[in-house]
Amino acid sequence: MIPVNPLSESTYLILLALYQGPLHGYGIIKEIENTSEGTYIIAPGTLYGVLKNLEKQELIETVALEKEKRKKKTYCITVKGKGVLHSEYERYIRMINYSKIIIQGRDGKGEK
Amino acid sequence: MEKVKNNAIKKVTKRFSDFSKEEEWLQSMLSEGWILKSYDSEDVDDCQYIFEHAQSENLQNIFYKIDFQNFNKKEEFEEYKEIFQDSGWTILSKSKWYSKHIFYRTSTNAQVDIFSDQESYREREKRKMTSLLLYTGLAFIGFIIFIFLWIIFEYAYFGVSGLFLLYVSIKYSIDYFSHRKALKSIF
Repeated sequence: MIPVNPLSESTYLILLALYQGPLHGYGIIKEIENTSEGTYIIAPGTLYGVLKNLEKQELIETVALEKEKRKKKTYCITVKGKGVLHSEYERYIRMINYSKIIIQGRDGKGEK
Repeated sequence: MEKVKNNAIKKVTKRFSDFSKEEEWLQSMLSEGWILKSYDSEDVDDCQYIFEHAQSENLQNIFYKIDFQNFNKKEEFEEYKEIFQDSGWTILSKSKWYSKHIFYRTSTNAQVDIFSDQESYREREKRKMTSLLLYTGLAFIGFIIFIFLWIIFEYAYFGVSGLFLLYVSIKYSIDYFSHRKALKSIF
């Protein structure tokens, strides 16, 4: 996979929100808030900044949704974006597995 | 500089080189009963703020926040505006020509903010610094050109203009360093 710097938490959450399908700006905030049951609330200034950066890095792109009556700018994740999200997800898993060994002690799987 | 036109409107011309100080000042104006109605898009010089005497009673629940963002297209500003409005903020900048965007909203939570991480504060300072660096550079190039013209044509006018641009250039660079200091203080 392409080596990427760790994404900020907000960046990760926003890519994650777009994983299932295209959303417009405020829709992303709502999606993250609803799915995380209020654990993660992205403020609008943070969202806008991250969207612009992700667009610049071509991890997301805008799509024209004809169905919508009003033309709201809609974003979707690119193939490159999905790749980055996946490698970041795997990084988190590795971190968690490693943390578990340290914090919870050796697990009972008998590997060690 | 303060001009009180009548009892209901107050115009203040002021210059800030720190977003938090500007927010605090707006907040302090509010505690005196003045609510910001509009301000000019001038990014290079002092900013004129227009306040209206507030009628509303729950002023202590209003919070101001400032963002800095340049736009190329009108649609970009429209989208930006919409995201903030949907999130419950009132935007006071009027068009894509504004770079500084002042927002306010009422909330019972004093921690309410337009940013939800520290990175966003750093990015805001960086955007402001890029603008200031550009202005510093342009003013300095202008200074060099005028000094050359002054040397060639010996018109005092060119010399004066050149020195004025040097002054402007220094002013921006001071602002630049003040924002750089702010950037470094964000963890």
